[in-house]
Amino acid sequence: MIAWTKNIIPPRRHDLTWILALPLLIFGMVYLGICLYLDLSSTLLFSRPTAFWLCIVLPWIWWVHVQGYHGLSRTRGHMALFTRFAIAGALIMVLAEPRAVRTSDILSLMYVVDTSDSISETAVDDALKYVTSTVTEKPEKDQAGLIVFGRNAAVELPPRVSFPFEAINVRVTKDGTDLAKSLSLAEAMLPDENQGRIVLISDGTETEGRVTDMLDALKSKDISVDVLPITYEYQKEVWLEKLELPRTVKMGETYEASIVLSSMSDGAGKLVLMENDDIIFDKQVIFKKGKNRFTVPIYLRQSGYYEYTARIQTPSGNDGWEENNVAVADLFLKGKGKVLFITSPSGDPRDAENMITALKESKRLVETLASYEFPRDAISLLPYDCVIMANVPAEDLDAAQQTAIRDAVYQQGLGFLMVGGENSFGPGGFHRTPIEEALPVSMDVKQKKIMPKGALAIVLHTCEFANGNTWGKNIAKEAIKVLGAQDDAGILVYDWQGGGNNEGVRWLFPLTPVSEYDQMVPKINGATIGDMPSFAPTMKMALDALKASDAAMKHIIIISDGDPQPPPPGVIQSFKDNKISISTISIFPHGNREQMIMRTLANQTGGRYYYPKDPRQLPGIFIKEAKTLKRSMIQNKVFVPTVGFPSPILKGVGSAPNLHGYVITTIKPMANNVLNHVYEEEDDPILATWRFGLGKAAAFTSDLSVNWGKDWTEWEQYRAFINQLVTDISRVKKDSHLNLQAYADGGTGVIVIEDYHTDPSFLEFSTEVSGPNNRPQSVKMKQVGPNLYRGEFPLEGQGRYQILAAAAGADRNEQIIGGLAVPYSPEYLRFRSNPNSLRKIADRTNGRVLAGNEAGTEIFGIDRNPRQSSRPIFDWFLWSLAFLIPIDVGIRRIQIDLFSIKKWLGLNKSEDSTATMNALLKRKEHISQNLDERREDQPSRVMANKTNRPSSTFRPSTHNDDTRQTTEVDTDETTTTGRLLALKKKREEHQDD
Amino acid sequence: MYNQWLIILPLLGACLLTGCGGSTEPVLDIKAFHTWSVPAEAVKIPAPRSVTVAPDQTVYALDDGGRILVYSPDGTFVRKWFMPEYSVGRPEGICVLKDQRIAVCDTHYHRLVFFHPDGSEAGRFGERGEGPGQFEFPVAVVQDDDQFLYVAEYGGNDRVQKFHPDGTFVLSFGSFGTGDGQLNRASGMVWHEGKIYIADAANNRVVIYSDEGDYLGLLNDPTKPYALRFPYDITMCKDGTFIIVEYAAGRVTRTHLDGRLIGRYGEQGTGIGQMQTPWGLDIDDQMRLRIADTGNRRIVEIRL
Repeated sequence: MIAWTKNIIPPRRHDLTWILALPLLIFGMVYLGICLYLDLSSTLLFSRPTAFWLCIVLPWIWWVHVQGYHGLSRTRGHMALFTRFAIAGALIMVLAEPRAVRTSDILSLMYVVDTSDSISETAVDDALKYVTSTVTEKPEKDQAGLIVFGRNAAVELPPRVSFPFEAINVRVTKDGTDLAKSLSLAEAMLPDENQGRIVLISDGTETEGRVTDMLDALKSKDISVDVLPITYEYQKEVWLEKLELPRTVKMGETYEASIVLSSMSDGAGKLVLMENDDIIFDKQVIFKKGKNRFTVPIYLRQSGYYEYTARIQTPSGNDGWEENNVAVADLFLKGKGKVLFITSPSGDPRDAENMITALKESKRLVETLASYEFPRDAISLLPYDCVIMANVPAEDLDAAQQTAIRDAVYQQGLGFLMVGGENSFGPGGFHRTPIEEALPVSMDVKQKKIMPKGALAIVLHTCEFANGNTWGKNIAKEAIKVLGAQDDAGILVYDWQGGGNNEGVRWLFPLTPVSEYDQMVPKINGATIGDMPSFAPTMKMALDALKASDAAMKHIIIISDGDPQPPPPGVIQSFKDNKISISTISIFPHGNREQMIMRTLANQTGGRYYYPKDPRQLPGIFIKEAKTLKRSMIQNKVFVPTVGFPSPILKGVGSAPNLHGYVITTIKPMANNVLNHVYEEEDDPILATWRFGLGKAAAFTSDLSVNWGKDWTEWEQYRAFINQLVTDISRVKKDSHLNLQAYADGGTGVIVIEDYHTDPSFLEFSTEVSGPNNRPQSVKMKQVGPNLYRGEFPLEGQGRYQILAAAAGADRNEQIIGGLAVPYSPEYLRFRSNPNSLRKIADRTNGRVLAGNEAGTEIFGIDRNPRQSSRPIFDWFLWSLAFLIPIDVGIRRIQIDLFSIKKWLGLNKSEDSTATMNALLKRKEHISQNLDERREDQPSRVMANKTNRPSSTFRPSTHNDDTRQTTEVDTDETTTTGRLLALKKKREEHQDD
Repeated sequence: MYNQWLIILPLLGACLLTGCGGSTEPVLDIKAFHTWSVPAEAVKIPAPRSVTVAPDQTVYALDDGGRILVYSPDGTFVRKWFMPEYSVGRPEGICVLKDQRIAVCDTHYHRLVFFHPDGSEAGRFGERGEGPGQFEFPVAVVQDDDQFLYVAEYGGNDRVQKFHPDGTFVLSFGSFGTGDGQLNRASGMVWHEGKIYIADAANNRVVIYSDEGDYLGLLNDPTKPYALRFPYDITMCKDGTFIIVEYAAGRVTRTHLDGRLIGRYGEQGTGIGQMQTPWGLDIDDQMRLRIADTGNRRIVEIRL
């Protein structure tokens, strides 16, 4: 134990003097002085300063060095000691968790602008003018950013030194105000290393969240909120609260519609009531302050869906918000179901002509609606048993209309049939649409080996109109959606951050199979689209990629204002040589020249040129362009369809005649392939059906008109086939004893269900509401009276809500469908701003209440409170340790022979030129001679020492005599080695004592 | 004896050449980097496109709000005026002439408009067309010591036309393309001792012509060629060196008169020391370089 201690702390070997202790004192003072200075000067911060107690190891290192046997020269010994000190010092600093401190007096300021519906467009413009006029006067190193908010918040510009604002490009939901969410986002955007500040421009009304919960968090981070109140107060306000319709109606009877009007003052105005866009009441009315009720008689002549819209028109200056002057309600009068044909305005009327005739001859009620007249909500489809689309392309129906069809089939049991043609299914652009979801066939034909592959490259140039880049991104997504999974799509953008050798042009994503669409979407959403100076680099990149593609059809779409430099003729020729077509779309071109450049590009490569005057036309154009790659899905051939899955549709119709073409699709797993065509050992569906939710849908991939189905239209069983097909998929009506009413109460939707059944047993309801955002939510229904149930749900703002309630209990299973229309945002029921809430925000966060006429120097000219931030830098010390440890080993173990190095480098031309080396060699020779002489002079003394050696250590030697003699000389105290061995022996004996 | 050097020297050389992984191009020494704001116009902060410095050190800038902005030499905004028309498109080139008038390439109206320093119009000439004296998207204008005007065009009719000060056509040179002497968006020019140096943006080069229309070659260093990424404008310092601004690289490049590279400064970005799609530039006698930092909606002043 004692020996172990002595190994760690060697016993004193020399007398201690100040000279010996000097290295320790010097290093200790310098090291601790540096650490203290770094800490006090805020250059470094030590998170765990107690680690410096480990400095007690420095004296130990010194002690071991001084009292140990390092065997080094004085200079090397000092170098080794200081190196060890440095290693220990660096290690202690690492353990003290050092952090580099940065002090910044830069101000980061976020402008937070309220753009909810309660803020007029003029007020938003004034707020933005205030932002741009003040931000351009900020100190050059300060940062500024912009957040806009309503019900949600979005970052228009993150805090940066520059503020390149042109217009609001982000989209927020405006039918609510969530101050807390906006301030929370602003707080998150402010960098910790800078002093943070927020300028909130709002009316202070809050419909969502609780801003008071947010203020403590802001205060704890020393973020002040300056507020600029947008003030308004309407002394004269008129609004329609609700439009009440009778709960149950019968055909041929007269009922009353009640319009509830509220006003803040007495007044007069024109009250109008419309029934399905026809005015049925239009009279001047006088109203008093408070609630007023006006009744209007209504008369229902035939079954169907009726939508009533009431509107009050007041003289100018007598009303604040105009948006809240409307109320909407609807009712449904049951009757005989109808078949609805959707027609395309640009289509051929003959596509549906024969089918309509056949159905009418079968005594069915048939209606036709052009696609632009088709309803945008599922409720409106209640009067129809079946909806048929014959050769109508996807671009004729917007997303809301397609969703309405899907929801009506799934939730209400509507029947749906798509009949083929060149504008239907895949070639019609229905891939990845709500309609495709409802159909029994998929447009994805990746399994079809015969399908040639398409490749589409989209070039997005910055679109300099409001929300232009957002439009571009949405359009690109729509266009790619149209393509099949086996097709390739890629997007090229000009991005100033792009770098590389392509003059800033980069692939947002290169040609990628559309099956990876879900991975493409986030890339498109996050793209930065720059102002491209020249078409040539972009087109060359697209050309190279398309040339390398194995696709059979290759196409490029360029969307631009036409002001990039046109490509040289050689580039265009390359496209022609490689049979790659370019379609161009001019968006707000500066003049005819730009249009000509774009048109020439398209014409020379066999593409098409578009010049839409309205950006809303863009989605349709892109879809149409992308569809050009889908033409190969059309099969023009004569064949007789073969019967597949047995179905009542084919009952008694016998064998079908020839068809002259069809659209290739893929049957879905749960669907029935009633008729098909076997082609290259694959079954292509011709007629397929399946159940989709409560409804049934069918796909006839050929047509039933004079084109592909010309033999069928003359077939004697044509009428029977059509009738049986429609009968098979049409809505099955069930009697219900339930009545559903729904209305809005502020921001809450209320559902009331009455049960008229003779059995008053309790019913368990499963109720689901689908709002304008297409986010279904379940509603819990509670019994509030005999046969009366009530449920509430939060409204998502303006729009239509569809309600589906399924009741179970007492051997009954019934369903009821209803709807609710919210005609205006709850924001329009706020008639005065709330500057007090803004003042509270400013007070709680030590902010200011701004007047709106401040200069930028005032906004940014606040007292600076330099903010310190730190980051861990232990890696610096680890690197220093990594260098110091080899140096330490090197100092102790490696003798640098400068002579040899010079010699190796060839710098030491003469071997005798170094006097030191010669002197050493001569000295070595001299010592060797002396040793030999001593050995010869002292043989007896050597032998005496030999006899004194312990016998146990003696071993017969196999060495020759000379060697033995040399070994024994080591114990001679006249030599250094001998003295050392004797000293060692003496110390061991002393230890044993 | 010297065999060891055969190993050591290449290793040292490789290390020096690669800079241990860093850039090999010299960085331009600058004394200061400042930014000037562009005043807002309604809700928008327009993007500056071109700058020019008058002999009295006043700085004039064009922006995409259709405005001519006037700054004092220290960057204080003084006043502004608007182009006569700008709804179709905004001007892209500006130059102060020897007689103190300010010439503006009214790009999308295919003409040159002249202003007095107080902003009043001093005349205009040019009409749309591809013939002599006509313009298709004039984008840059410079004047030589004999007061001849040189106007560059782009948009497929890329060329440079030479005019008498009164607007009389003298000659034209250059054509659209990528070959020798051809131009592909000649967006900036400078005249020096009988030569026109043209920033041929989409061809990524600076083309040299004599002011009589003879093609003389490219401005670069044949022994150590360097790349330019969309050079959008070029100016000359009082010491006879060129400074080129590169739109796609967000930097300025300084070269000797014979094209040898002196150094580069800047990178794409929004912060201090960065530029985003910079467009035009000019330098005054005190080596204060002013750059239209278009993407950042500001004017950058770099003191060399």
